[in-house]
Amino acid sequence: MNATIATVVAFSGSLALMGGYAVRVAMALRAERRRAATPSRPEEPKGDGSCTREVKPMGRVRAL
Amino acid sequence: MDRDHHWGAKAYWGLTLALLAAGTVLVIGAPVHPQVGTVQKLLYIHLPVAANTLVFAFVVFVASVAFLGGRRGSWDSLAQAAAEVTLLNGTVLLVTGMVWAKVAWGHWWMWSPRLCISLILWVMYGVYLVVRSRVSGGQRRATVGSIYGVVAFLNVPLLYLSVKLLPNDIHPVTAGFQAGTYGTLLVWFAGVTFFSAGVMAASYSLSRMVAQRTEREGGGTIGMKGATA
Repeated sequence: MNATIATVVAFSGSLALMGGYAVRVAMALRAERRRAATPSRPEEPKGDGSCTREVKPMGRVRAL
Repeated sequence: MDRDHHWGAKAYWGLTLALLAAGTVLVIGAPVHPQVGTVQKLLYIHLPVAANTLVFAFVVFVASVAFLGGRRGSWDSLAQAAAEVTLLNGTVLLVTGMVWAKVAWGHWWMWSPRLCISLILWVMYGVYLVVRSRVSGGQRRATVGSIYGVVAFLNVPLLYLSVKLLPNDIHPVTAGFQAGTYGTLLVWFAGVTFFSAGVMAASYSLSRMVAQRTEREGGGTIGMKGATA
């Protein structure tokens, strides 16, 4: 086994593994932050003008 | 406040990358070991990841004990994040050690007590994360994980004591660095430690955000104190 090649591969492989994991965590965190920042679905208005409950998605509107 | 945090994180990761880049340049320029040769340079990363494996295993232990004491979800998230970093450092530790062993000893692996304890440590923290992913329910998962995290830590003093108790083990006790190369080793220690702490912090934030969302959506962390803390 060539010692220099083995050293370079192990060194760069280790850094790639560490960097890859950090990027994976960073991307997941970014996605979660975006998800948290997305405004929630509109609420159903009550008679007095206030909103208390989320409107559930109803699916496609059927033509009568 | 959020803007300050954003710039703080950027500065932190900039410093970490600068340390790792400087460490790489210093390793390239470091003298070749007269007996072992070029492969000895792997120890510049092997030693810091070994130390960080033990340090973050200790963080898992402390966070697990704290969770069992107070049932706060934030401790459980910290334990999980630290376990991920322990496993990551442990993986690099084993890979660099095996390549070094192949060149220096002619074997990828030797079944010596110290190497076996290191392998068991790595397996235990891998199993910790698998167990967590298989147990359903936030409270139950955190309790099982914390008990496991405490038990898994028993390996760490064993590994540390093996240096004293097994002086004839094939694994070298000293790294044999030449004079004038300690600065390079110090840069690597700083770079790897900054990196590990940064990844743990990011993983912790992610875990907290997921826990808060799960609680909002009505599942997972029911009955756990401070799930949204």
